[in-house]
Amino acid sequence: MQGLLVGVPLLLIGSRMVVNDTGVDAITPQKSYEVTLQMDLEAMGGTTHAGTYLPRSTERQPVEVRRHRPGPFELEIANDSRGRQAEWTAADVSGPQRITYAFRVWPRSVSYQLDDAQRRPSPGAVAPERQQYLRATDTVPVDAPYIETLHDRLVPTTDRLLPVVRALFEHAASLESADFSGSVDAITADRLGRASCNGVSRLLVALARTADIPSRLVGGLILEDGTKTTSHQWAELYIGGHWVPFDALNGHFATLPAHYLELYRGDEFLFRHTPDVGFDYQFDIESRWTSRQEAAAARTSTPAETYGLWAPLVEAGLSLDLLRILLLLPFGASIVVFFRNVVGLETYGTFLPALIASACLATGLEWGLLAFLTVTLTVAALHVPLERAGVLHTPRFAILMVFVVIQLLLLTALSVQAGWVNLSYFILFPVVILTSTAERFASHLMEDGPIKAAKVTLMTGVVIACSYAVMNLPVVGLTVLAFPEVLFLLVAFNLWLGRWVGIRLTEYARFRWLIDRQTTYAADPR
Amino acid sequence: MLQTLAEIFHRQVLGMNRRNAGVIYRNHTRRDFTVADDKVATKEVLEPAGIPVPQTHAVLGEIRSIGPHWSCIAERSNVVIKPTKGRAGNNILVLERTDAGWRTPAGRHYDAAAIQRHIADIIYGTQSYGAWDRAIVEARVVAHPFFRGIYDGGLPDVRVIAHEDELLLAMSRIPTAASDGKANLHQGALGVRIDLETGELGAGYDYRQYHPEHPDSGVHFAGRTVPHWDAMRAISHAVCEQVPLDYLGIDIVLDETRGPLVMEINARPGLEIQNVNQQGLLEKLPPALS
Repeated sequence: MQGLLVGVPLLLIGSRMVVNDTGVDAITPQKSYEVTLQMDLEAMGGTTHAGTYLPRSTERQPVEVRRHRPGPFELEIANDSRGRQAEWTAADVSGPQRITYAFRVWPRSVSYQLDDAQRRPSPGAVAPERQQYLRATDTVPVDAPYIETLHDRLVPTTDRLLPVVRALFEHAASLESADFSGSVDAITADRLGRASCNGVSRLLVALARTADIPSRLVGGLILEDGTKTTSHQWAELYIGGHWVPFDALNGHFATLPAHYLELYRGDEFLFRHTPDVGFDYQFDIESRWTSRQEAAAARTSTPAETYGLWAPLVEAGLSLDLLRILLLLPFGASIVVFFRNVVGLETYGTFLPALIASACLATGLEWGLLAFLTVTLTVAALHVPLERAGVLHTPRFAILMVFVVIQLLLLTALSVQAGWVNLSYFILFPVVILTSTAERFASHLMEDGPIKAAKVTLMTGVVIACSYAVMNLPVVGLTVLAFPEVLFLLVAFNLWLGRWVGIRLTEYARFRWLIDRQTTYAADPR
Repeated sequence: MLQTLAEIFHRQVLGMNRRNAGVIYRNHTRRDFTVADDKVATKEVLEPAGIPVPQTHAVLGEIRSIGPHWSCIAERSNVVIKPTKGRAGNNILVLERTDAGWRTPAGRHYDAAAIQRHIADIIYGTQSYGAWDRAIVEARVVAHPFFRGIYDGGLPDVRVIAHEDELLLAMSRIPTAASDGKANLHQGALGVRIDLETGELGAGYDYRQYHPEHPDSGVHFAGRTVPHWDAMRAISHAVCEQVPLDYLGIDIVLDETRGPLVMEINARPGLEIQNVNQQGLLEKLPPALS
């Protein structure tokens, strides 16, 4: 029976992986970011332009456009060596206007292993098409004596490339990080000894070009959850036939972290707009785990079929997020079973920990635990006077439920007010079970004292956290959605556990006299 | 080392998993458990077989039956009201008549309305919400001088674990000040080992240590022999014969005048008796179960 329950789902999953040609990509987690660019213009009439660089969809950063609300503007995109230049134009607009452009990106980190034996390039050996990356500019004054002197002081006497790059990088990285707004050229940055990303990167590029290494600036965005109004710049050095990334400000040597989104190449401004209009922008960034298959689908611009199974439900208005939480519940429940029957921890309610943990998937663990604790304490505080007043059990329960509902609504309102939007999921908390558990806590408190009650509460918290940790694993979340057959593996696991008659871990401590006796016997076997 | 430790435990101690899956629910249907889970049903089986139990004054299954039966509470100087399906000694009300009304052994005063509310709470199911229960009104058992000589408070009992007519382990549960008169180990009562053959008391266990004397009275009890021990053994065997369960815990109290009475039987007796006796249950069970 268990063999069937394990074998058949595994066979189904395997065959679907082969037939759909996804392999394990469908369940391999890859972090993605939904980036929403919002540009606000205060137009004064006449033709108005606003432009920026939109991310190129590449192997390293597949991009999928999600939403575009141009308002009265017309979008034109031109590709050149610098990037994808987007320009929104409207013939005759005035007043406040908003352009929203949202995309999802699945960036991956890139790391280069630099060849130790690589020789320093000679100026003549640089190909003509890369000669431009050796030239001086206003902000990268390669020909200035200051830069040349600095270069000569830093560069060790060697004909190998790697020590040179390392010495230049370390010098640029030694600059103190500063939040300058506006742009700072390479010399100013070095003289001040402090600079923001553009100053540090320009200094590195200037020094590298002096060392005859073709190099350029790259502009983009560091992807972090939240709202951003600052972009970032780093450098790329042409080494061994590749443009190798270096971010001296943040200490990334020959590495581009996964959360760096490239937008343009060269020393450019990210935004351009018609003079004399009010202009403001922000990026709203939200990360989430998706599968590598979705990333691949975005790269090839084909729709991902992974969740096709759920299409009818999704069309009916059910979100994949909610569906995932529902499918994850049996996972949480199995963790609880494990903790009770194998470890031997006592918890409030059998499946309450799993339910709380699933609510935490939406609110975050710390807030979920906080809600659990406050509700438990409130109910305990109300339970005692109600019982003293002689209110019968069932009506008392209904009264307590009123207060639990009010409390959850208050928490929800508070979190919405404070802008913690995801906390509005407090509404997901299982009210009935939470109330009955809190009541059990209250009677436990009165019958067995606060120490025992606190102990069981703590263990409940531990089990909630573990069950959350498992349900929150990206690979688990992806697997239940892509291959819901895995739920039958849980059936097999629980069938096995349901007939397992072994000693629970805590029972070794409970019956420890048996250990003592054994050691005494070993010491004096009479 | 760890492996041998696990082996020793698996050979000797009855753990919760094996108790549930391998012993209690083996060979039994839900119906078999009602005899143990409902005190009225227990008495209906034991009384006709001549096994002594506390006298029942009334069984109240509905609010409206309180009125007609009120006299059986009001006219007696000592009664006990408890839920027929209660567990762990919860919701048991021991009443003693006073001039003004009633009071509990702990000194809390009750008037008629408070007693009736307690009965209503039992009927509406305070223990398991949604499930209705009945309240049973019984004669109050007065502890035998043997036990009162050890500690005068609450009602101690004797717990015998039996499997298919074989008595496995026994202990006495003696209330303490901490347990507030209750003979419940979880609530602080002392578990005292009883020699199955002789009825001699051993050391008492309080979840931490073993003591030969009572923590509150200081009376040294180890070595004393429980009176009527042979009768208690005979009663335990008789219970095994009447009840359709293979494995059970039998709780016997020793009344001053009536002698040993079966207070209740337990289909899922706790495992703590192994700690009290420093003796694993699994060793004593037939090998087929281990």
